[in-house]
Amino acid sequence: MIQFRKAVTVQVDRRMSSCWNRSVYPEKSVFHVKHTLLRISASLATLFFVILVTGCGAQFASPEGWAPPVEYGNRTILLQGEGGRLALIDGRMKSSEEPFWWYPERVAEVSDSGGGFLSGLFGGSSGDDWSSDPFYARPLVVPGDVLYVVSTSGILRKLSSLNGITESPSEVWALEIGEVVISTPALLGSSIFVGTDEGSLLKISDATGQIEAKWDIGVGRIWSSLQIYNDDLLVVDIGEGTFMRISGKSGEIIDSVNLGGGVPGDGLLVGDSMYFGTFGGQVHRVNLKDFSIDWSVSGNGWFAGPFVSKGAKVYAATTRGSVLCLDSSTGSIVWSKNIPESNFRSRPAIVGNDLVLADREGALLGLDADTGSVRWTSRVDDEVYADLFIHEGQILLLSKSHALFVIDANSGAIRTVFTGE
Amino acid sequence: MPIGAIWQTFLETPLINVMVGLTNLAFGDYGIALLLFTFISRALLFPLTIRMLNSMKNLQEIQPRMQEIQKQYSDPKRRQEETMKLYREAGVNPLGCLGPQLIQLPIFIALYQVIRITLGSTPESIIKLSDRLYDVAWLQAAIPLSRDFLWLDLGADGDLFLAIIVFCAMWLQQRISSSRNLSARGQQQNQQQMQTMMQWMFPLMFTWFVLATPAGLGLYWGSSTIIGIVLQWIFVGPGDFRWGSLIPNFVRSRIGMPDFVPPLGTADTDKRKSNAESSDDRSGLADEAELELNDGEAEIGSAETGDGKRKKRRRGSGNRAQGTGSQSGASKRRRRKRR
Repeated sequence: MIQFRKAVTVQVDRRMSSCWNRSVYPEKSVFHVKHTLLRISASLATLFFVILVTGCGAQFASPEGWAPPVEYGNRTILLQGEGGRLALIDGRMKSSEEPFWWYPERVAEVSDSGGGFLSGLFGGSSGDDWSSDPFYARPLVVPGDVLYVVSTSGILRKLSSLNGITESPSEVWALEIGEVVISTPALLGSSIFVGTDEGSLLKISDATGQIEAKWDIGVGRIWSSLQIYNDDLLVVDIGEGTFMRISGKSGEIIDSVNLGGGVPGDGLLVGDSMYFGTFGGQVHRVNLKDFSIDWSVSGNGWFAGPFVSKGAKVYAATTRGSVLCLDSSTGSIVWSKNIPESNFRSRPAIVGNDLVLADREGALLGLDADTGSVRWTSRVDDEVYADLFIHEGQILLLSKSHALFVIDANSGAIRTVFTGE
Repeated sequence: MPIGAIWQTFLETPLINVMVGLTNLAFGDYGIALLLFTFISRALLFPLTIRMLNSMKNLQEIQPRMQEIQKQYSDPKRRQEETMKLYREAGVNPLGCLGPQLIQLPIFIALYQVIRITLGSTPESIIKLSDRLYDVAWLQAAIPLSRDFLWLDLGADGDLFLAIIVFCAMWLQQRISSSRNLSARGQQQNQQQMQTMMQWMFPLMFTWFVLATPAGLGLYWGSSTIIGIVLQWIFVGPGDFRWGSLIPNFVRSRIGMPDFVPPLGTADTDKRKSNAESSDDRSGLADEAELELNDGEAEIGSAETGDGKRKKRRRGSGNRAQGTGSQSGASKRRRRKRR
């Protein structure tokens, strides 16, 4: 060890001594104050660090939530009008809509889901702050008067709106799950099923709001919406991409298949087939009868958002601007288009023969659904994560700052109908 | 190109890809990837680290001669020139200590951002990560990254146990570093106090950082500090630090252990004797300070003896003898003056 130490020291000394002697000893320098210099430098560096860290913290803002708008009934639209607040607006889409009601009337107090007790200093909430608790999960509207909403921090609420659209709904029960929820829950029989960001699957009584069962299904985080197939649950995780069919009664895994990459977006359920896109850049069609993969297709980038289908075609877009039109039965590529500098997270929409896509940075694109040729381009001045939504033949787009736009699928003309709180 | 873009293009984005690539190599374990990154960055900084450690060692060795220069020349300009000359002769680079720290600082800051981006505290940030990854399928397919390592959630802030580990490691490093500086000749009492303060301030400050930033950053800093301690131990030695000194004597007496007494070298024993003589008639603060200074010398002597560096001990003893001589002379002069 001593020999090695000497050898290294000598080598380094030889290499460096020449440049040291050239640069390090200006005659008038006051190097004997080395320790003071060190302290000053360390203090400055620390200050620099603190400034940078606190400054950088600002760009890691709280989650915004990308729950898309949903139909509520009576020609109304329910949307996240502010982080953690629902607004009900008139579905006739007049400009500058005033909501019928907000729920909750003010932002709820939530605990910090991001971790540390000092995270408030770095752009997060500190636990004692009033902070938004946005929705990634789509609200579940049960025709009649019931609504289920689950927030990111894992608070599931059952709401009743007996008074229709005139008054905000009242809370029937609320349950604090204690885990982050991104995935949209599913209603099966008399139970609500919720998949969490920690990989748990919860069965909750619809009547009482009590947890009936909590299953650790042995997969990673769940982001994709839970779906129902023949009274069983379909669950896929974002880590390994394990797709499972689970009994809603016992939590038993009936079937499973590995998709070779995490699935961040919702699967597309069509008949007995399920279509998935993975982080590994693949589209799979899984046959739900025997849980086999019918076909797989590779694309460029992540398939981070859900797909849309029309007839025998499935449309998918990636975070690297690749748009694919696939034959649903064979998986062959009907056409593909690469849109440079684009990143698609939200689900596209099809109206007539127009395929409309929204880029994360707000660029909008109208393509011919049959050929893929670009028909128009447009833009909103905001980021877009929420899925495009079709209401009475119109395409609705909810932006990151909760403004609602109506897009004309033929021309790309944009009209703002709601500007958020 | 604005500075933000330069920062992103040349440091942050490459680092993001490096971390994702390392995670892939580490079978999807981000914690192991962070440890690998720490080893790699320390290996790349190794020449600078060696330079810093050598500088530290040389500075320690020329302290007696610096003391002489301080006493010999009253003109500050001349003193400065002589000091520079001494530095040059000894090959000491007083700024050498700053190199690794200054280079590590931007890495530390960039790593903070990289951990936030790659581990994605929000779903939006994971989607945004797509823009930052190079167009390599192998990298693209590695997402999402696992946040779990041992007991840690690497993306979450405020892990107390990790903060304690980082505090202990940094305190130990500061203790080993400052032990040789504290005992160096020529240190004034206020400088020694400053060193003691720094020994506590730096670990406390970084402990706070570890609590306030993602655990992954704490893992990097903790492991980097431990590697630093090992390198320092190998290439410079522990100075007068002894593991036994970590247990204070009052604790030792309570648990029935013998008191910790640092081992003394021959020259130091002589100095102690000399101090004992001079302490007979000491009456002022100046003499007390002098005594403390000599105590410090005794410590450094013992450290070198403990290291078993015979050659250096001989040279060091020679230096110390000169220093002791001059100090004894000064004591005698002061004694005569008082009489």
